[in-house]
Amino acid sequence: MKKEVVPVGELLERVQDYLEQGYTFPVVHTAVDHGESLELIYVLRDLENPGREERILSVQISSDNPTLPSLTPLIPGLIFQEREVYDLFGVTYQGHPDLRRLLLPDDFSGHPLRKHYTATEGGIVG
Amino acid sequence: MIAERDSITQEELVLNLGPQHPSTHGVFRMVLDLRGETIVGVTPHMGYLHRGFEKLAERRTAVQYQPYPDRWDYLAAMFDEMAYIGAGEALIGIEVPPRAEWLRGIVMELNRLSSHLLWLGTFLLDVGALSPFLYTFREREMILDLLMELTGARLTYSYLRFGGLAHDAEDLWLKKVKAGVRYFRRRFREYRDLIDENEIFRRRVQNIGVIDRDRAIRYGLSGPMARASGVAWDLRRGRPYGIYRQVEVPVITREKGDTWSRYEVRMDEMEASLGLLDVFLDSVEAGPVMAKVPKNIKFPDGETYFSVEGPRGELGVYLVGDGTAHAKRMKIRPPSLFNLQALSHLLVGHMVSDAVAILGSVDIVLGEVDR
Amino acid sequence: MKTLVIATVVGMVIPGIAAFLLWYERRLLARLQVRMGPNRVGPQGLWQSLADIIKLLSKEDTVPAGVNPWLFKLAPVMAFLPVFMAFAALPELDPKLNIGILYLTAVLSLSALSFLAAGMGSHSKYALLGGFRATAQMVSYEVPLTLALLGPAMAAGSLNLNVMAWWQQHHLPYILTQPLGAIGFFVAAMAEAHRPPFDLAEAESELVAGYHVEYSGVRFALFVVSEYAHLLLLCWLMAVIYLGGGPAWLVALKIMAMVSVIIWLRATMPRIRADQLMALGWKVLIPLTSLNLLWIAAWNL
Repeated sequence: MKKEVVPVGELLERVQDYLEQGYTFPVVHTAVDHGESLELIYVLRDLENPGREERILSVQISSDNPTLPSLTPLIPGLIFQEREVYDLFGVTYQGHPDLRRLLLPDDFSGHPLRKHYTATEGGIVG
Repeated sequence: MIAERDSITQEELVLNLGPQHPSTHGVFRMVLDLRGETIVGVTPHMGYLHRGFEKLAERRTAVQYQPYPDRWDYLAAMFDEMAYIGAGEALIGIEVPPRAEWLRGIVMELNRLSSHLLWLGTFLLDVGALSPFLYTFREREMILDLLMELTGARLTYSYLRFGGLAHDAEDLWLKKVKAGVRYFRRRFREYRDLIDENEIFRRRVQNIGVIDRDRAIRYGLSGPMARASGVAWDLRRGRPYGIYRQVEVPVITREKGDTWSRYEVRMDEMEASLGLLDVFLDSVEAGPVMAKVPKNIKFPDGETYFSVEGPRGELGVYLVGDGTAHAKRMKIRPPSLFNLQALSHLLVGHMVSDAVAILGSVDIVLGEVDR
Repeated sequence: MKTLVIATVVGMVIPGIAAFLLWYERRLLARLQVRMGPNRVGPQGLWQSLADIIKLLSKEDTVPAGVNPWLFKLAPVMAFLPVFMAFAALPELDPKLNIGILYLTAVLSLSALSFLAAGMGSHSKYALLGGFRATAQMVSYEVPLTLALLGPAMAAGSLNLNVMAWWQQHHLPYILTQPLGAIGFFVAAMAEAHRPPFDLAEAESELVAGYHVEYSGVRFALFVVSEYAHLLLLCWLMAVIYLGGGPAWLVALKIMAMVSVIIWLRATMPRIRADQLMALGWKVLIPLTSLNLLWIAAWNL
């Protein structure tokens, strides 16, 4: 499947474009930890035209203090997915209306899906 | 929150439903802000069933991870398996023999039936009808028995493998399924007769919990939730996989987007599944059920997204491989999680009794919401 | 002296019949749901209710912290007493009670207080909501119930139930001559007794147990016994006032028939929603029973 690499600065504009073209259905959004950088993946689909393939966007941000703009004002269907990435990867989404943990307890410390997060960091010996 | 209006002080009542509650369908917590019996705000809390499935995928090899997907949506385990195995097969490039494709289709449609039957029983229970729950479970037990005979388990099957199936199905078993389909058809007539025309039921579900087509798409709703609002999308038609590349599946929609429509869509889906089962059973060909695959499966460098039309909607897996036997990243796209995003929109303005009925019509399984 | 004896007998027998009805409901409901129901404890499971009551009576008397002790403790008594007092109006027990219907409506309205007390006294939001729903329900259905009872009273020319029964035995049962009233009474009585589909105050799947969620042991047993006694009462009333009464065995048969229909409805119907319940009571039953009254009045002319 073809990914399109999008620089952070152009993300909002590119998504807006695709929305206008009809790719209004949020399929999935997640992050991949590459060590020094985090790759944010967005998959959008046009339900009215099954013949069109999904648009897969890839945004690289630094894994040190990762932030990027939230897409929820444009796509409300990403509200939980962004919270999930915040919860498990520690990515801050600017402009998200309710950015708090989704799956882990509110007072949990750490972001488990990061590669450097192991059982020992979580406090469990082994 | 206390508001003063004229000289009467009004206070909002905060009602907590869950995480232990007969009707929240799993460990799920909803905090309702009420004014009298009317809901003015909803805050869902999830994560009580978070078991770390995505992190586990990075710590287990492709083959070691095989038993795990069954536990995501434990009511539709075959679909979980199909999503995971399908993603792996797509990434690696494995072709599955025809007989395996047919059998996968059969077990998936059987699973869709058993999932919808459970949904029907619990949904009616939520609305106050106590008896249909027992009738639907009686039918569901028959399906579970069939699947147990085939795979050895009632809920967590571990039947699909990279390249095909764990083992073949006997002719006798296929005959039993055929007889089952005939039996279920009669029973469904009974359900429709008992439930559809019931005035009290209709009043409880019609025009309750409405979501329009546009919103449904933007929230990422899928499955019966979306189709009941007029979104004519079914992955088996739009992005066919497995045996659905050869068989045309009817896309069942309704226009209203209310709880009644979701009920109707699922009921029609069950009947459609019976039709598909008939087609599959008549068409299944002889042959091997497993392709030639290496013993130590490795995920090549690359990534793919593969999704299936589960009973709850689009269940997908975004798989990133790095050339090793371990996945670099495996993201699960749970339909229930996306469907829950609409909860606030669905509930506000309704009463507490409606909240239970509406939540029931969304049909969530916490196993896949929390992973 | 004689009244004391009768009172004691009635006080023991009615709960006994209530226990029997509890068993009957569980067996019949089970059969309608492809299950068995209790069949181990005693022949055909008949001692099950007794075993359950004994269990309840032997439990610790818990009074949760934060409750209003007066309201909390009074509620079960307020549920129990009015129902048992109402039995006095029945012809089989006291054929000479000339204020029959008047006495009945007065006494039964008192039971509404128990829901209010239980709901407000229990330190629980669920109980509160359940209590509100229950009280509103009781109050709303008082009117159609009373109107439905007045029809036969007018037709028989007396408030005494024995006279009504006697009248029906010499003419036709009122269910035939006043069908609207019969339906109105049946529905209103079911709503008053909180029987499904009108059981939203104890809606298991919504409010867990509603207004009696915090009760256990003896207090809970009182609620249960009074619920089934109320069921017995309304079936008995239906049998006497609309189905014609008669010799004791015939009345018993009629009662069991009514009970079975009510259990059947429980097995079949979903729960009606609070506002729909109100609409039914005020906008459907009151006109229905009023029409019935007019019908009788016109007929009597």
